[in-house]
Amino acid sequence: MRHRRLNFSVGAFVFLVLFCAILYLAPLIYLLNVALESAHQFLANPLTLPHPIMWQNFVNAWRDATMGVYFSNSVIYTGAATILAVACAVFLAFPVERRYVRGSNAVYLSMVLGFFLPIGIIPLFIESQMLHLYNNRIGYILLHIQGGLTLGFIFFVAYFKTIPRELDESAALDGCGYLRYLFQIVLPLIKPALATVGIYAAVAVWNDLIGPVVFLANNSLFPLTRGLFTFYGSYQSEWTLLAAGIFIVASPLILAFIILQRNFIEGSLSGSLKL
Amino acid sequence: MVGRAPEEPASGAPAPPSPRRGGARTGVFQGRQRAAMYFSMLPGAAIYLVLGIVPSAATAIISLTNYTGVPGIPANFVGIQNYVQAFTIEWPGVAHSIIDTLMFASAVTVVQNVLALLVAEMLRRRVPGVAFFRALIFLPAVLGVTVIGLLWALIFNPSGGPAANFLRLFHVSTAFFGSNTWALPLVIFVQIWSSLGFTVLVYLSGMNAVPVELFEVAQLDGGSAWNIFRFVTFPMIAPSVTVDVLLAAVGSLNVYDLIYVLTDGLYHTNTLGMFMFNSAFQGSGNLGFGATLSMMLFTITLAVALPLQRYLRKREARIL
Amino acid sequence: MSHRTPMAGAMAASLVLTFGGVGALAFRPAASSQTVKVITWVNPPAVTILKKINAEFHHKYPNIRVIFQTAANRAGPYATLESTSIRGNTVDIMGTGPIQPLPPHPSVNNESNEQLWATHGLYLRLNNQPWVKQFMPNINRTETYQGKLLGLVTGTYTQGVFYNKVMFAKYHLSVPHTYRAFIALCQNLKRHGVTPLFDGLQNVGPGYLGFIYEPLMQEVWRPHVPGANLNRALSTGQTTWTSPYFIKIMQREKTIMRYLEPNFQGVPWQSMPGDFADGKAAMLLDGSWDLAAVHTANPKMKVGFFPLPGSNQAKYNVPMVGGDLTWVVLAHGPNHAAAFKWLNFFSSPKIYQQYVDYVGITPSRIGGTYHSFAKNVLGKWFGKGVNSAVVFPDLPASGPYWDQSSNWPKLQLDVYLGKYTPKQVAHMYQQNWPQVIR
Repeated sequence: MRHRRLNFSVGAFVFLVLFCAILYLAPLIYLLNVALESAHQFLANPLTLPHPIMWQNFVNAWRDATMGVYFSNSVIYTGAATILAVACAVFLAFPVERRYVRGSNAVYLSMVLGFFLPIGIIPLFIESQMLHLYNNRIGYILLHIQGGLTLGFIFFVAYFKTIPRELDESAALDGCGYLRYLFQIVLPLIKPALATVGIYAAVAVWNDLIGPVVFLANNSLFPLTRGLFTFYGSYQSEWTLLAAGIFIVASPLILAFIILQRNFIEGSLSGSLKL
Repeated sequence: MVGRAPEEPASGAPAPPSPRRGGARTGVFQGRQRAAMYFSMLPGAAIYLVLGIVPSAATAIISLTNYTGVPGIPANFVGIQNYVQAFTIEWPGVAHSIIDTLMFASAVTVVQNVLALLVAEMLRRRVPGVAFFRALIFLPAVLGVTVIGLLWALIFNPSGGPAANFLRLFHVSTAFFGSNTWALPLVIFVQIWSSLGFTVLVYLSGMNAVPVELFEVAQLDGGSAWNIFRFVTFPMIAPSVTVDVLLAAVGSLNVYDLIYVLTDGLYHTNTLGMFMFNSAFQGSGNLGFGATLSMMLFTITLAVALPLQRYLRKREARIL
Repeated sequence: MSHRTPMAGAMAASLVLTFGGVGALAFRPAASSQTVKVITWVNPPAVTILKKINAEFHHKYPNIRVIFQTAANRAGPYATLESTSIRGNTVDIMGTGPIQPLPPHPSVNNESNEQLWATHGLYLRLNNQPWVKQFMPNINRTETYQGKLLGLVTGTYTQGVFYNKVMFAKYHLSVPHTYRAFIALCQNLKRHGVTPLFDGLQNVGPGYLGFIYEPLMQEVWRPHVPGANLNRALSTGQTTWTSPYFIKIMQREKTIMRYLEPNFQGVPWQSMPGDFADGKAAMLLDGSWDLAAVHTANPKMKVGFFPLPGSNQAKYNVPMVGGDLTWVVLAHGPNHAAAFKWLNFFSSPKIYQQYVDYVGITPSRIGGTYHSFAKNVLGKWFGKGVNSAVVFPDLPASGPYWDQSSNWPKLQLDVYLGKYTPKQVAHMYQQNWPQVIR
């Protein structure tokens, strides 16, 4: 009896079906529908089922928008920035949580206060040029570490608390080096947190649009988001191609979401509660 | 930040580093190991300092200059001139922008939370396919502003889009994102659409933490669904309300990437964030004035968030 | 005690891969080839032919690769691309518009962005380039500051009304020469259930109403100011935005806008030529740069042209012409030598002729024969008209809000929507105008 919820509710079910179907499923289905229509059909009758089915739209969108380049850029940026952010956050959070270093409180406080400060896009743009981070891959990656780093730090501090300090001491007594201890013993213990922060940071980097607009100048360095936006600028009225482009950009995200759904949902949930 | 959650025991919210426990040595790792520790902290600390703290603090300083970032155009310290301009010759734009920002943020905060409560309440019931619905509503959170923006631009395409066809049934026709009347409500709608799932999840987790017995007792007492929600559910999820309201308020005040995709700030959607971005990177290119707008947005965010947070915390304390 | 877990192993491996991978990408040995980066805004015909020209350039100079980048539209994302490019050092050749005439007292407060960059040494001096003498001196002057030629003006556009000849014949309509006749024509078309006028504002904003207010200013207001130079009269205070002529202009603009296609604010500017070619309206308000796109969309279409008749005195109703795409070489660009080579290549007779014939502008190069669709359509008006330089002042990018180039047109739309009256708008423009022209 303890775990019984309220009784099955027909009203709630109908509400949810309609709500999701109209607002969430329909737009995605329409997107796919347009992506498979011929330009002629879209102009004449966009709301009917595609006939003939134009798989060619996907090929053309991929080719015309040079998505191959953008795609590999997105993968590089997201992968590198996420891994670096998580690594930096772990390296910072552990000594601070343990207060192994002087000024731990100050570091912690500044991280929390960091959330309070105003949007720094203008100074970041200036800095990116002064530090030669502007318009190159390494710079772009470095500029995208900060978000995941802050989140990860706060997250990991909470997680490290659950690891008894005695473990550190026995490791040190056994002559286990600090980095080996961190990688071989501590990290496996906080795997869920690593996954959560990693996914969170990766989605943010992958989806960033303002970043590439401000920090990148060359087409060949653009990630998918910026590439798609440029494509939209040049093909505004060719919705069948555009829809195919949107679908190409959205599908890896949808796929990743289906596979990692639990992590996404739990991650964002605990993420929000921890902020 | 302001959205710091209530100290929910279940969520394991972080507290400052644990105080020094008696007997524990500060330096478990010594010598080379200690050096390795310091060394490993360096990259993160440097990135955080240089690309996190410095830019945030520098906004205030840049707002006191007329720096354009264009080589050859002299940059001077101009004191509060940018602020004076914002309240004089730029005021028509700034005033509109503040109104747009507040309308956008308040509508998003209220509607998003009311709708999320409704959806969460439905999801809480014993309904088949809960996980599917929950996932579907959450999906936009991973799609990103570019995909979301273009998707809705397709739906609200004034010539032949499904929304236009639907409205034609009522003999209504509009330019949607190109309309002075409809652009802002539609941008608000898309913003809510993209972040609703998140808000729902927080409410749902709050609801699931409420002991089932409370609902059962209420039901046995013959309470109507509305009364159970009003007197049991809603008060019991006060901490979730705090989180959701604060996150929605602060988040929506600072949104501009979605607006950049949908309208670029045209048609009364020029929120302060958008205005800041376009001033700095499109219009005059005056980074100083852009930073001034950024500081104004920051001030408004604090002015809204801090009292709101205090109120919501007090409300929690009163209820729980 | 080796109990390395797969997770830690993966972490370490990917860290190494990341650092190594990124390093490899960034530090790959510099190829022996050079690059020249060219940016411009999206005007589909120009983009198409420039891609072809770039390929031919690379063919002639195999060691120089052209990086060609565009953004749409000129008012929005391209402004951001320009703005970030001018601050960075990544772009060699940038597409802009001519800078002249400058305000009487140029300063940071009243120059447009392009004028500001030109007067602050961000464009290289081109006087000694081999092509300069081949281009018309009067056109070169529009891009000259203190004796320094700062760009290559590719040609002159013409702005006005393009009409569907078949539709006009079907309803027995003839080209109107006065404002009254124009409105009567629009009413006539509307009675037949035909959309008279087409102009799309989506993604470009009310600036595209310039196809209406600019000719009106030229025809109704300009003849009545000293020296028939409205730009100078406004910039020196000889006339003001509160002039009764300007009030009349806004009233007429509002009337004309009633004959635009429904939801013109939501129609993408890029689909204008295609929609016109599809017969969605009898007339298209546009510049000659879009004619090539009309022709591509419907090669059989018969298109005619007349200047938008804003005045009831036919003699004043002539088209407006203006300097089109202008190439400047950025002073902080990485490869000046290659940029000069590219400009020289672009301006060589055969390449330049390809460009002009494809995009349909009036050439700025001396001599040569050109055959474009636009030339046929414009007929006697090809390259003829009143220069926009004596009509509309280049509005500043900063300063009084409503006088800024990006905000000024918003009020024109507000007049149409009934939010403000023409008188109120005139006052809003004039209120801080003295500060702009000071």
